[in-house]
Amino acid sequence: MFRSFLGAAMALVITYNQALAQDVGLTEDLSSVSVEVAGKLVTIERNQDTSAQLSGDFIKTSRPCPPFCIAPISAAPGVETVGELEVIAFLESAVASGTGLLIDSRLPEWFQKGTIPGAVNVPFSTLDAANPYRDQILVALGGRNGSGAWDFSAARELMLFCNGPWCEQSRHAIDDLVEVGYPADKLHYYRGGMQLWLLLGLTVETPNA
Amino acid sequence: MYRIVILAAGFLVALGGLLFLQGGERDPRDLAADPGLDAVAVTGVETMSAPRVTPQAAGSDLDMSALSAAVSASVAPVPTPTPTPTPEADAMRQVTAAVLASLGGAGAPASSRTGGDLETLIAQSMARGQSDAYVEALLSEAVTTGGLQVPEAMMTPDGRLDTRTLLASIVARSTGTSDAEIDALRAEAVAGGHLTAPAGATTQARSYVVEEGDSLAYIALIFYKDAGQYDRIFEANRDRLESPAMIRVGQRLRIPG
Repeated sequence: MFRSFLGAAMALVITYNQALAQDVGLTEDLSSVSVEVAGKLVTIERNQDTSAQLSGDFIKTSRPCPPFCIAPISAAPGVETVGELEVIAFLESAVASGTGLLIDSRLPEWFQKGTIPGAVNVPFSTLDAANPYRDQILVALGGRNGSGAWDFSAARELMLFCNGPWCEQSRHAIDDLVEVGYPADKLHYYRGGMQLWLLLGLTVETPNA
Repeated sequence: MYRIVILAAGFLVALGGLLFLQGGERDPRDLAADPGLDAVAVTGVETMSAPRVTPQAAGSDLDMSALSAAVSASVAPVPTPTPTPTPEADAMRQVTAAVLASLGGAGAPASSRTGGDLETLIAQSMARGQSDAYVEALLSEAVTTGGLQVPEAMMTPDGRLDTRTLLASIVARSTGTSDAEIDALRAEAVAGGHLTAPAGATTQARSYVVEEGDSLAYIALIFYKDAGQYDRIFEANRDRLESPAMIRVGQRLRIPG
């Protein structure tokens, strides 16, 4: 009897220590998430330093508007707006299985400075109708151009983000995709973008580091 | 392993040759915007907030078009669309190429970090002794993600790329001594019991039953030793084939002599 009590007490101590190992979790029950994206393991967790603060490009409160205006919650009719947990869930399901892409719609120099792990860079300007090579990208996303009309029934689910609520680039990209016929229910908008991702101390990947 | 080395060599020779041939057709502006130079400085595009393309990404554009050309040429000449280059379009082409390169890896910052383009990946995996299956998976992925355009005759009944025929044809084109590779495929077909003639001999079979994983190009390869002759089989079976990509498992095809 005494031994089993001791055993239970030990087990409790061990669990408690494990809980202590991660002070800053994603949610109450989830400390980190690891996903395999294109053969590479990506781990998303939060900065464990509880005294950490934002620095660099993301501490400003006031940027000139236009162009850095406040984005509405909804990017376009039928396009779902999501938060961080949905981004992580999307990586775990759609991106890991290859049926979806997490798209960083900023320009390459921003992408290179740091992005959400598992994201690919499709700058918003490449989805503009003015890009003469846009069709190749639409094909790469899974679109088919039969007799002049695009068919996106087999196309991948996309989740787009840019620098955050003060950034209009992902909305431009979403507008252009909807205009060419990409189904709104295959599009998702992470409005928080890099600004909120960083604010929450979530893992950032530097693509060419 | 030996086979992998042959494939690697053949593939790289074919690519090299195509790159060399393509050199003549390139617009001088392309050269001006070559890796190492700042694409923006050359073209001066304002509307795009000055996109900058990494040299690596620009290089892989070239490789991809060479690769696409290699694939097309190995079966039938398929013209590659080349929009008229303007300075804006040139800059856009490079950014687009970078996008396509990253999409080609199916959401893989990982692969762009380790060298990026398909050619490098294949060369690297071969150097590391990866299996044929791995290399085939790479090719397959490049096609399904749209980085590579493949003629319909290379599609299998389940809609996948017939990589064994593709690799065999690339080797055939580059070395000119393809018999070993093709004979191996024929031997496989005989062992599988769906080709009656002995490997290497002119086949007496006048019809062929489609198996899983076959493509018209494959059938042309084992009957005519030339994947490019798939058209003869397609023409002879027009009544039952909507397109060269639409063959079905179990379907009996006429093989013209």
